[in-house]
Amino acid sequence: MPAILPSLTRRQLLAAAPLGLRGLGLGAGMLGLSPRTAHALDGSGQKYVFVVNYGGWDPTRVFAAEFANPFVDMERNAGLASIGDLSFVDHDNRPAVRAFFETWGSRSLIFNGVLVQSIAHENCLRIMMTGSTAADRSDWGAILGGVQAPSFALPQVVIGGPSFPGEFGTFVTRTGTGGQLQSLLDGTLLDWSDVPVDTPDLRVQSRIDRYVAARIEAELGRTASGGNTSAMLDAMARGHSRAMDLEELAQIVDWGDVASFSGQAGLAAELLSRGISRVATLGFSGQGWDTHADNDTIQSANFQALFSGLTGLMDTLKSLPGETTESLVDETVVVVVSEMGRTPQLNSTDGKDHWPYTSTLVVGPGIAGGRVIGGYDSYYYGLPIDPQSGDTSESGVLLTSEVVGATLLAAADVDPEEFTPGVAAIEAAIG
Amino acid sequence: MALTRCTWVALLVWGCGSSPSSGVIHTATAPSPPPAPSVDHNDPDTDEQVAVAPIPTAATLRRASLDLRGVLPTVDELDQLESDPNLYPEMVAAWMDDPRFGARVRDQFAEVFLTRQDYYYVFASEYGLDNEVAFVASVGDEPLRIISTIFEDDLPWTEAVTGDWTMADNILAQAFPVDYPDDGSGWMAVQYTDGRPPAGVLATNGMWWRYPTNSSNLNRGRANAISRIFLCEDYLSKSIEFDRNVNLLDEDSLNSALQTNPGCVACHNTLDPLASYLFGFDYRLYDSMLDTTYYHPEREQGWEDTTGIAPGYYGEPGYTLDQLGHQIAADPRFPRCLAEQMFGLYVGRSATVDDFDHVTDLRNVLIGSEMRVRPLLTAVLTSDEYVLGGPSDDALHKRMLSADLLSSLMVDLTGFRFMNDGYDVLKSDAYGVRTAAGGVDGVFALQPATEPNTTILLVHERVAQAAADSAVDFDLDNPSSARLLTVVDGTESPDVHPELMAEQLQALHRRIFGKSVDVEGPEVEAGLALWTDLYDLSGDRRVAWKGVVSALLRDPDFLFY
Repeated sequence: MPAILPSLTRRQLLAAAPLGLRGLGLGAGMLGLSPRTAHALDGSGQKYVFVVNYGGWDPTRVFAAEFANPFVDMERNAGLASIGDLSFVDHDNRPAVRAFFETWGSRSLIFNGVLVQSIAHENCLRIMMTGSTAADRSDWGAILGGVQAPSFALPQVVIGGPSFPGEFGTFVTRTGTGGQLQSLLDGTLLDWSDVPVDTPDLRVQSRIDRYVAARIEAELGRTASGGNTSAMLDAMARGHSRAMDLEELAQIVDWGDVASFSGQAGLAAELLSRGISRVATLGFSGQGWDTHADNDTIQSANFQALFSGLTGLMDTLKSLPGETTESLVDETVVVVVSEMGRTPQLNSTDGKDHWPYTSTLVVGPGIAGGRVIGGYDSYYYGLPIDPQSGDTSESGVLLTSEVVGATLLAAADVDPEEFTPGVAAIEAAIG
Repeated sequence: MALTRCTWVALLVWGCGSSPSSGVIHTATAPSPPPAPSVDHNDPDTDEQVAVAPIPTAATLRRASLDLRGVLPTVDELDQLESDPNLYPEMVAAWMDDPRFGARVRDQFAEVFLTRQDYYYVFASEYGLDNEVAFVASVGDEPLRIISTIFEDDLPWTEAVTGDWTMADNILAQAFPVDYPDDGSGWMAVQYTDGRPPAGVLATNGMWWRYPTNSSNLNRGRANAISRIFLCEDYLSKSIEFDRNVNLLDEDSLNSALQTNPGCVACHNTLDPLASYLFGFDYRLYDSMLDTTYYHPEREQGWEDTTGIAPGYYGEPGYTLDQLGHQIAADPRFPRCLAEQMFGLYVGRSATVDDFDHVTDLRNVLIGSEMRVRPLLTAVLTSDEYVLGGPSDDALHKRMLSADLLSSLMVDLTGFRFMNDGYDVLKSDAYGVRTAAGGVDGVFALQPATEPNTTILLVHERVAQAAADSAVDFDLDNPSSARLLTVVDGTESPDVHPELMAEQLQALHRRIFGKSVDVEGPEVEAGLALWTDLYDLSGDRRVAWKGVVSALLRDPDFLFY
């Protein structure tokens, strides 16, 4: 058998061939390791990490300091803390919260009173992530990745939590939580087979890749544009190109243990740092957020673990070089959400049930940090706010999840009108 | 105007556009068919009599075979159809008797029911069972087995909500209170023995373990699942306007709002009475999760002390779960919903306003056949929306192989099933790559991928490599029972019997793509070039054939159908 040159990757082998994917006009901007056009440090140059806390957190344990509201059961021994204009709920059981805001408070913006128009988990999750119940809407991360898809091998990587890719489906990649993506990339998936099978060597694989690419090109050439078939072929061409880019990256990136939040955060930071991804979505469940019983014990432990993890994420981002700045943390916006809030009062089992108003934490550049926008009224309903000032205002707009999403898009220099028609961003939130 | 909405079945049974014959007897629960449009079949000016049925092609047969059996048509079947396209309805009918038909129905309807999950809140160990994955798979399939049995036995769709039976296998028999025989094996129809009312899937543990509730939701989520699945009305598709003047924490205020506030009443007026039928599945988990095993007739009146809303179906009062089943079965939305779902599942796109008449035709087929499901399925599979043919097939809606299909297809084509520790890697996230392959996990991935993305293509690549490796070795070692390499014996090369290699590539195109290509055509030429290059790289004929086969299994003509 001819010797295989280990220094050559399949992509390099393919590129050296007469007909590479560049022949399809697909490869130029998609090579994750290739030099990319440097973005100025405006919204379009930012990267994103979404942290999704599925189950419904209790904002009154960290974000909503409703001590003056008799309608709200605040936690015993909790107190109001402030760092500049940023106020939050402090408790000795959650030192990680205090530590996080002490370090990152000036970059942190809390949205309080965010409305999701449902109290069912699956529905709220979709609304929180996309602003809508429509099945075809893309989540904010998919949009932010999709609009800059040509610049990234993996525009949005979903390491944990949910994904609503919508129209950007070909730009969204799930890693799986059990090493699935790595095994797909390096071919070790074949080792999972109960029946032994051999993995072809790289040069054989590269030649087959070239054949497949040519077949896609041929089918595209003979298919009328505009129809469903050509759209499928276009998606296949993009996916095929990205798959080969990723296989190259399999040898560089440690896709390994993402079962823990720190593992997810580490992989996200690496992918962002290498310019492979613009957006990473992570999931955090802790002991479970859906606390219909024993709310305070579980929520407190979850928030402590979450903020400990967030500190770890920020530290990792800080330790890595950015694309145009010294540190990746100066280019990365971290968005921390939960799909719903919890009732203001404890139920008979010391739990709290579902509530349609919640809070969202955004940390990073391009955001007006160090403040809280929004609030709750006497019924613990979200208050309208003035989009320009961010102050609560009876004549203002309701702070829906769609408004928060539109604000994230606007901060990233993406026209919200294209994805959330008629919904204005909160200008005061954009730094 | 040509009768483009006409179906083969409608032509055969009624004549297109007409109603069922007057002799049809309807079941007690089936809604009456709507008035039929008046068509004079002898009037030459009535263009609807000019029924131009679409002509099925090999591509049609491929699509139907995948949808009904999960495998490709054989070369003999392709030859039969091409010699006489009129055989298509017969072939479709025969495939509904194929033993693989039920599995395909389950895979299709899993996208609707979403009961297949990797985890439920009750573990196998609670029942002394040690195989968690197998237990979970059986639980999720309980409702789907009812559905597939209805299709396999051509029962009325009403059985789905009124049947006095469920399905169980050896695993469920060890956990659920069912009259599964001691000497039984495999899946079979059984009955619960805990006093639950007969109500088809509405009375299954598999359904309500997937859709749990709690003391504040009070079965409303379950009621919505019923509405979404059987009536195609999803309450959750509507955003909720929360009235700022309502104190949601005051029980009296909240209950008053649910019954009087316009923003609440629109949904809760119908949702809450529906939910009140389900209190027999109100689990109390203080002592043991095993409480979820049983139906609790003594809790049926639980609505009295909670919502205070009596059971009812869109204004019609009721009392028990079996009544709910009959009320659903008599709802005109019930057959229309199935028609819409079948259109979506088999045509591969959601029905739009433009499809209204066609979906109405499909609904009428269902009603006209006493709600039996096979005539409806036949109508879908013989409609011109489904049948690919003619010069403009690019304009028709193509679909991508699902994870389920990829699994069954590989088994049939190559004999290789990609198993990890006994579990199909394409059907599990715990042991495989189901969602990476575009599949549904019932929690975060609720809809199958409909177009290829990076991970789907990576899965196809690896599965193709494994299947080709296995198939080529088997075929060359067992030529008398070869599946794919039926022409060559592995000794050929471009210098030795190249004509056999060309003939083999021609046969592979026919088998894998359903296409007839010339031995001297560009497809065969490209395949030979690939083989030659791979042989030059590896010096191994087997490696070359494995590469060629895996390439064909990653081809767009294989991926799309």
